[in-house]
Amino acid sequence: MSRYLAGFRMQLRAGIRTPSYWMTILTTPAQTILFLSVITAFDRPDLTAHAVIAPAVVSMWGASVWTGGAIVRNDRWGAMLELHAATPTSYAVPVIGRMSATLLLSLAAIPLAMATAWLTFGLDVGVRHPWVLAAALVVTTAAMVSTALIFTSMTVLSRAAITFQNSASYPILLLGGAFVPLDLLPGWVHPIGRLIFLSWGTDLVRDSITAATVEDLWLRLGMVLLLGAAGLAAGTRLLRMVMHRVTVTGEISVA
Amino acid sequence: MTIRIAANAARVGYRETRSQYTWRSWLFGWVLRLVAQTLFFAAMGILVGSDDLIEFALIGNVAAGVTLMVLGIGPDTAWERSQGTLPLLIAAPRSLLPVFAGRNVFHLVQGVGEGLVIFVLVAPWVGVEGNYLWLPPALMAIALGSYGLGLFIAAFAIRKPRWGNTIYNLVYWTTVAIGGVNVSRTVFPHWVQQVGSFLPLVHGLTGLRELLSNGFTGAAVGQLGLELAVGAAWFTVALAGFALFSQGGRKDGTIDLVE
Repeated sequence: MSRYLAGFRMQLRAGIRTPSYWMTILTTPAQTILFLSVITAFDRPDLTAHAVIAPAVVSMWGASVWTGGAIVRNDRWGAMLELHAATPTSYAVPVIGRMSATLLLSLAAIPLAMATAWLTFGLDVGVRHPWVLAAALVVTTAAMVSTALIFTSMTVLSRAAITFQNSASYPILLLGGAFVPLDLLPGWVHPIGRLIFLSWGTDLVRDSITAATVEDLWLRLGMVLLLGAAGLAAGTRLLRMVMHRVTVTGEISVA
Repeated sequence: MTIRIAANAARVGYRETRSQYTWRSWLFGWVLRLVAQTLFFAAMGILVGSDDLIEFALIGNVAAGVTLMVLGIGPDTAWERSQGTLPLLIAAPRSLLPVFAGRNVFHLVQGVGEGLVIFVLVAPWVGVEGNYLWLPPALMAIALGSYGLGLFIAAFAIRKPRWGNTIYNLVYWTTVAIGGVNVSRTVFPHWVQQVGSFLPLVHGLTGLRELLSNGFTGAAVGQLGLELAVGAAWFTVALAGFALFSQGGRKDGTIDLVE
């Protein structure tokens, strides 16, 4: 726990002071304008919640994937990967601590997107179920951190794996229904999309804003948590295997 | 001499890019991401119930993918500073521009090539129609138009390396948001459209859409010409930026110091 908190505190300070960690959140207003321009052109103010949530989710998922890779890259350049490999506790713990701090900061994308909608298109987003929204955001954010760990482990394996880190973004956002709900996509992708925590999370976040009643709340929260836990288990195991491999082969700083 | 420097730098850039990918990591990593990104935005048409929007956004995002790749020369150049090779380049008697311009020229080829690959992979799913033989030259015009702004970001990022990625993303998403990629620019107020006219991609994409629907017309040529003019203007500004950076750095000895 102390290693998690140490990583969390350190990243919180770094996240506030380092411009490269602001990258994803600073693009939120432009992306909000993009989505809002589409619903405005087609005169669909009923989709405002979709247009406001999508850029925030894009920013948050981008932040989790980007931060995971950046942490490993910086640790490699600073020759700290060797020290992490030599310690008896898992490298995953401080990495998750640091990613949690970044995701906490990236939650600011939601008020930022709402403010952009109000300032640029004069659109207001009223939240019907604020407690459901809060719960959905907490579990979805936790699942983002957990799942992004899978892609972080690849960055340890090879510096060329930044390509795979990049590839984690839009396939997950598309199948996770970040803007267009999974149910509207072709039927054959539904089974794949439902294995991704984000499809449950984004549906729930949108329902918390627009639906008169939120159905199956506990089931849906549970699915986000369950799939997030599966991502955490897979990510932790992968990271341990990869750290072991690069340590044994002696490629830890040159992979 | 300048051309030889640029040619050698281009060879280094090509080799560098090749070393970043295997064909598997390129296809199942980067191309997969670009395909998903294009589908992500094209799918907006499903949400608003418009097949026309699906096709409009598909073409827009194929073209935007070219700009994404070419503007990437900005943050890539900033890495030069962190790798410690910059003082050697500054000490050399020639301008920095042929080195960086040559080094990054492969981004143009890669951007256009990937744009075509994405189109070939995604278009059959959407069922688009048009004069698609005009796609390669129009994408090349967009790549050239974006190159000047990419170099300008590079000139900025080399001064402020920690800001390189952030500025790159801000410029790219602003261009996509107001540049007529996913929806016609007429949805925005006049002054936003005017600002967009100074960005790359905007005129090139208008020209591309005209070529696809009506073939080789004066309007299409005019828009592609404007795209190249915008690129040339940003290239000139980048030229001044690189000159200022190298002169200032030589004078006050801050080339290798963190911002």
